[in-house]
Amino acid sequence: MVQINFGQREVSCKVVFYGPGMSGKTTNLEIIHKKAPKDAVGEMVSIATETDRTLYFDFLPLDLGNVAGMRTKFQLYTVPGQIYYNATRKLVLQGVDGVIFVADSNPDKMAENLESFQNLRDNLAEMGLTVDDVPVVLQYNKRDLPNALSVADMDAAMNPHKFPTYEACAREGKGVFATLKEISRLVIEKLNKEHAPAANRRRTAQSLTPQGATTLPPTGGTPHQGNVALPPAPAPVAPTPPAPMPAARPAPRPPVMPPSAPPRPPATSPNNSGTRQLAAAPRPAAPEDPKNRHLQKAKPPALDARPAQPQPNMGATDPTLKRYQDARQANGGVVKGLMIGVLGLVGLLVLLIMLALFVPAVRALMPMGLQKMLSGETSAPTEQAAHG
Amino acid sequence: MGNDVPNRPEVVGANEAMRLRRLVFYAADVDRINQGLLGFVKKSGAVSAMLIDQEGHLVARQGFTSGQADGQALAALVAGSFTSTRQVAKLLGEKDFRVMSQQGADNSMHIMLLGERTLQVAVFPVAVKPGMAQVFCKELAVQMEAILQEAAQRPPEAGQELGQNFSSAMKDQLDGLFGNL
Repeated sequence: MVQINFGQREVSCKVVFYGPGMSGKTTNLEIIHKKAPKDAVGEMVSIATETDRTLYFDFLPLDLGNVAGMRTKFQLYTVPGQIYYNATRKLVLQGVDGVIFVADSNPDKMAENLESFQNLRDNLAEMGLTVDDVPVVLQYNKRDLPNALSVADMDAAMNPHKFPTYEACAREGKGVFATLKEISRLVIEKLNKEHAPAANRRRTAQSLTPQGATTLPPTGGTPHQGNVALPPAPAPVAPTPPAPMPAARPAPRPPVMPPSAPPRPPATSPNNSGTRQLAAAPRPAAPEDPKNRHLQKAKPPALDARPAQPQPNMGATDPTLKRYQDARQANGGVVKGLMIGVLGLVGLLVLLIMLALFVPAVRALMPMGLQKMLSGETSAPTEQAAHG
Repeated sequence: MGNDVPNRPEVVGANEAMRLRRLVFYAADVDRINQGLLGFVKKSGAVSAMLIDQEGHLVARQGFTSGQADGQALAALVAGSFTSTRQVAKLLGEKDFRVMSQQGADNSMHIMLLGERTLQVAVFPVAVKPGMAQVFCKELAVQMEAILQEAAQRPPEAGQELGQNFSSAMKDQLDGLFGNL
C-alpha cells in the first residue's frame, strides 16, 4: 500500500517479486543491488536458509530521488517460491502495490509457473483483490536456456490478461531493469491517477460509475500492452536530462558504459511473432549438479567487505538530538563514576570494621577507646563495680 | 490515513477501496508525531524511536542507532518480524500480540502495535530496565494513538496532493537512473 508522507515529502511503494521456486527472483534483486547507482540502493537484506533459499523474504530499498518535489522510494521484496511457504508469501504480499511475476522459461517448469500464478491470484483474493487491481508485469526469465519455450508459447499459457511481458536472463542482468522500470511506471501512474489533484480525483470517481466507465480508461492504470519484448541493447548515448522540476536531482547520472565503448552485441533476434527474443547464448560450463548452479548465484558480500555506503537514512531526526544524547551520555558517565566512588568508600569502611573485629593486629592500630569498645571492655568495669 | 479504513459510503470498488486505505500523512500530523517521539527519546533515555507502517514503510523517526542500521531496512525487518508474530498469535487462538520485546547485549527493542496497522518501535540502552521501558512505551503509545486517530478522522487537506506531472517526472527519473542498464 503506497504511503504518501507529506510531512517528510516522501512517497513509498511496495513491489513484490513473485514466482515459483528457483525462477530467479532473488537473482533479480541481487542484480539490482549490484548494478544500480550506489546512492539509489540501500542494504540488501535476506532472510534465507543455509543453502541460500529464501525463507521469509529478500528486501532491497530503492531510492529514486526527488520526483516532482517528493522523495520517491520503492521497497523491493521477494517471496519464497517453494509451495510449502505459502503462509510467509501471504505476509509479504500484504499491502503490495505492484507485482513482478518471474516465470521460468524452462518447459519443464511451466506447471510450476501456472501453479504459482494461481497461488498469487488466491492470495490476492484473500486480501479482496484480483490481479487486475494491482499492476502486474511478467518477466520470462532464463531465456538463455537452449530449450526455452518461445515467447508466444509462454504468452499463450501464462498471459491471458495481456500483462506487459519482458524477456530476461537475470543472471546476466538482461531484462532486469527493463522490468523494474515498467512496474515502477505502472505503480506511479496508478498512484498519480488515484491521488491527483481534486479535479483528477473527481474524474477517477466518475470512472467507477457505469457512465464514467464507458468514457474513461479503467482505473487499473495503463492498458496492458501485452508482449513487450526485451528491448534492443541501448546505444551508448547520454540519457535525456529530465524535465525541470522543483528540487530534482542535481544532474542526470552519466551512463555506466563510456561513449567510446563498442555497442553491446545484439543479444536479441526477431522471432516469427514480431517480437524480439534473446538469441540462444552458449550455455556456461555445466557444473556437476544442476541444482547447485542456481545456488552459486552471486551473494552480496559480507557487510565489512562492502564499499562504504552512503550515509544511512536517518529520516527527519532532529539534528540537535544527537548533541542532547551525547551530553546526556556524558553526564550519565559522571553520575555513574560518583556512584561507584561512594560505593567503594562504603565498602572500604565495612572491610575495615570487619578486620578490626576479627584481626587483633589491625585492632591494635586503632585508638584505645575504639579498641575497648570493639573488644567489649567498656562494660567490664561496670560489672566489677556492681559485684564489689 | 492513520489506523482505520474510513467506512465511506462512496466506496464502490476494489480500486477505490485501495485508494481509501492508502496511508497519507500530512505535514501537521508528522510534525506532531516527530515532536512526540523527540520528547519521548529525551525523557526516557531511549536511543531511538520510530513509527512504521505494518507493511514496513517508515513514517517518522527520532534518534540514532549505532552500526549500519538503515531506517528502511530496519522498518521492513521489524514489520516482517511483527507480522509473523501476529500469525503465531492466531495459531495460539489470540487475536494478536500487541507487544514484542527483544533484548541484546547493548540495546533492547520494544515494539507496540497502535490500532491495527501502525507499529511503535523504541530502542533502549541496557541501562534502561525492561519495566521502565514498558512504562515509557505505554505513555508514548497513548500519545501516538491520539494523534493517529485524530488524523484519521480529519478530511484530506486541500493543496496536499501529488502534482499532475508526478507520473511523467517519474518516467524521466527512471530513464536517468536505469536508462543504460
